[in-house]
Amino acid sequence: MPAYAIVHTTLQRYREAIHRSRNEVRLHPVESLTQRLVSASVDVDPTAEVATSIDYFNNTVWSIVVESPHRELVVTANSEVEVMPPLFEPVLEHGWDDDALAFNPTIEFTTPSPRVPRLRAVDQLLEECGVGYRDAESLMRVNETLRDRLAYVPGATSVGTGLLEVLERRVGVCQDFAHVMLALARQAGWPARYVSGYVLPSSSEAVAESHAWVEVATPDGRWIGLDPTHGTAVRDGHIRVAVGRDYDDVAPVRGIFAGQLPGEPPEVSVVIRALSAASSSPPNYAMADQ
Amino acid sequence: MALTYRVENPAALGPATAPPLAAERRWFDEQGVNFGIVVGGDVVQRPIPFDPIPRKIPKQEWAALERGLLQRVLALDSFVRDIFDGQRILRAGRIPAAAVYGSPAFLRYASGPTARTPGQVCVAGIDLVRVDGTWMVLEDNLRVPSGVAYALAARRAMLELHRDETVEYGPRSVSEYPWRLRAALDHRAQGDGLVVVLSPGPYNAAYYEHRELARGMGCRLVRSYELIASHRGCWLQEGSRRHPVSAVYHRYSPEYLDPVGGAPESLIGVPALLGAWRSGNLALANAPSCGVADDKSLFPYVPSMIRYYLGETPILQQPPTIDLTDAAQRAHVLDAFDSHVFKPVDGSGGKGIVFGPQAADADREHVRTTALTRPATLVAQPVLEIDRLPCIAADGSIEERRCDLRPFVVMGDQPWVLPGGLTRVAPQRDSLLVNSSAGGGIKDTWIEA
Repeated sequence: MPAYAIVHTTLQRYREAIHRSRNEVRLHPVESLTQRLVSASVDVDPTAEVATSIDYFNNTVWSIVVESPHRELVVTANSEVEVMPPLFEPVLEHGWDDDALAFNPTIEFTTPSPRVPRLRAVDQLLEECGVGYRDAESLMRVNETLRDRLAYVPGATSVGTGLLEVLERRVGVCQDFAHVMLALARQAGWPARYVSGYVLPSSSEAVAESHAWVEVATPDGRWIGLDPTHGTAVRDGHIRVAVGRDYDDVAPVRGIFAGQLPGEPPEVSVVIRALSAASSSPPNYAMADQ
Repeated sequence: MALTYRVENPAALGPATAPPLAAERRWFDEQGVNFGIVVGGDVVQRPIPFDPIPRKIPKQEWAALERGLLQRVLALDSFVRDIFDGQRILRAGRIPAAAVYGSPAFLRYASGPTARTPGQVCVAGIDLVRVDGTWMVLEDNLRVPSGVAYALAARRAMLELHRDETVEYGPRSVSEYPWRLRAALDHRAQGDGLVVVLSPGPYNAAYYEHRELARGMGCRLVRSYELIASHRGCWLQEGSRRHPVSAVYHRYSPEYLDPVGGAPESLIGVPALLGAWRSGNLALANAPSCGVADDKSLFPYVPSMIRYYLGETPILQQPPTIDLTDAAQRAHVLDAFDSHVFKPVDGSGGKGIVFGPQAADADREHVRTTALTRPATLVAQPVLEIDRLPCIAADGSIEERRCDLRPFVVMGDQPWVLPGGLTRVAPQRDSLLVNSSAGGGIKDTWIEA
C-alpha cells in the first residue's frame, strides 16, 4: 500500500515583534475510506501550546497559541499517510431528484456558501458550457474543459479574490477553479464540496504545493472527486486534507496576532516523500495555490 | 384610579405648568438611561423616551404567557443542540434542511461538544404583540437579547415619579433580574474565575444596559482588549496580572466574538475566545451556537420544534411567515403588496423592514427586485393591526400608539420568566415600528400580583 510522508511548513513573518498570536491550522490528511493517517504532529517555533479539535465537517483542527513576543512564526505539520486504491470509478452516472435530496444531509452542499454565492454570471457560464440541470455527463465534461474557459495563471488572484471577479477576469489558481466548479455543480443541482489537499508528485521525493479540487455527491452516497484545474476525475493521485463548503471552511492557516499590522503573505513549502513504491503513475505535479 | 398625569385639557392648566413629560425626561436624562441612535453615521446617546402610562397585564393572562414563553425557549434550546449534534429534526423531515443549511446565522465553527450541552440559551427576549386581544410572537431574540435594563429603569422611574399609583397597583417586582442572571451565569461558569460582562463599548446603542447589568450583577464590565483567551481558558489582563475568567456574558453578535474562528475582519472580538468555549474551559452566554435559532427564515418552524422536541401543542401563536422562494406564494404576496410586511432575514432593530401599506415607491421597487432575484434573503408576513395603548403625546393629550412587549426568559438552574418585560412604544400615533433604534420609547409593564 503506498505511503507518504508529508512536511508542510508555513512561515509567517511579522513587520515587528508581536506579543502573542493565535492560529488554527488544518494541515493533516483526513481519515477516510481511501486514506489512513499513520502519524501526525505539529512543530511550532517559537514554543507554543497546541491542542486539537474536530470541526463541523470532521476535519482535524490544531489550535496554536504563542504567548511570547515573536517576529516569525514557523508551523511545521508532519503527516504520514497511507493511500488505498479507489473503491469505484469516479464517474457521475445518475442525477438527483428533489424528493431524494430534500432531507439528505448532502443538501447542505447545494446551498450557497460565503465564498460561492449564487450569481447570474454562473448561469451564463453554465449555458456557455452546455451544462444541463442534473445532467451528469455534461458536468463531467465541463470539469475536463474548464481550462478552456478559465486561464490558469499562478499569482493571478489571492486568497481573498471573490468568485465574481474570477468569472469576470476569467483567470485563477486552483482555489478559484474549485470555487467556479462548485458554483457550476451546485447551480446545476448537485451537492458539491471543496477539498483541500495535495497531488502526489511523480518522483520519490518532491517539492509539492497545496492543491484544491471538488467532490460531487451522487444519489447512491458516493462522493466523486473532480479536479477542474487538471481537468481530470480524481483517482488515486490526490491526498485529501480537509473538506468544507468552500475555502473559508478549510483554510490551511487562519490566525491573528496582537498588534494589528499588515503582515506579509506567509511562505509555504510542502515536501512529499514516497515511503514505498507508488502503485501507478500519478498525474502531474500539483498546481500552485496561495 | 385617577392618575395624576391624565390631563384632559392641558391648556386649562395655564402657563405655570411644566410641559408634559418634563419630569420623566429629566429623570431619564439624570439617570443616564440612554439608547444610541445613529445620526449621520455617528452613534448619539440620548435618553430613551418614556411614557408613564404603564401596560397592565392581569394575572391569568400572564400565567398563560409565561407557560408559552418557557415552552418556546426550551424548544429553541433543544433545536440549537440538535443542529450541532445529530440534526434529528432535519432527518425527520420536520423542517426543510435547506432553511437551516442556508442560514447565514448557522455558525458551523461553533460546533463541538460544548454546543451539545443543555443551556445554550441563557437569556431569551421574545417579541410579542397583541392582535385583537390575542398575544402573538413576532420574533425570538437569542443572539443579543437587549432591553431588560430599560425595563428595570422604567420601573424605578415609576416608583420615583408616580409612586402612589405604582404602590396602589402593586405590580410584581422585577428587581431580582440581575441576580437571576448572575445565578444563571454562575451555574454555567467553568471553574472559580471571574464572571464578566463583555461590551463592544460606548458606541454600542445599548451601552447603558451593559453597564447597568454589570453593576447589578457585581461583575466587571470589560472590553475585548482586556481579555486573553486560548483553548485553555480566558483571562482578564490587568497590568502584568492575569485573573482567570470562568464565564462571559457578552453583548456581541456571535460572528464577531472571535476573529480567528469567526469574521476575520472583526477587530472587536477576542482571539481564540471560541476555542476556550469549545474546549469547555469558559462559559459564554448566550452560546455562539444560538444564532441559528433566531434567524427569521427559521421562525416559521418554531411551532414544529415545539411539537418535535417537547411533544406539545404550541401555546403561543405566531403569524404565518411567507416563504418567498416559493414561486406561487411569492406571486400572491407581491400581488397583495399592501397587506404585507417584508423583513430581511438577517436584520435587527427594524432595519430594512418595509411595510406594504406605507412603502415609498423606491422601497416597493427594491422589495420586488429582491424578492425576485434573492428571495431567500427576505420573508413576508401579513400586516397585523396590533393593539394600541394610551400614551401621552407631546401636547399632553392622550393618544393611542402601537406597542409590543419583550419579556425575558433566563435559563438558570430553573427556567424563569421576568414578571414584566420591556414594553416598546411607537414614536407617533401612526408609526408602525416600535424599535428603539427607530425612535420608539418605552413604558413600564405591570403584572398583576
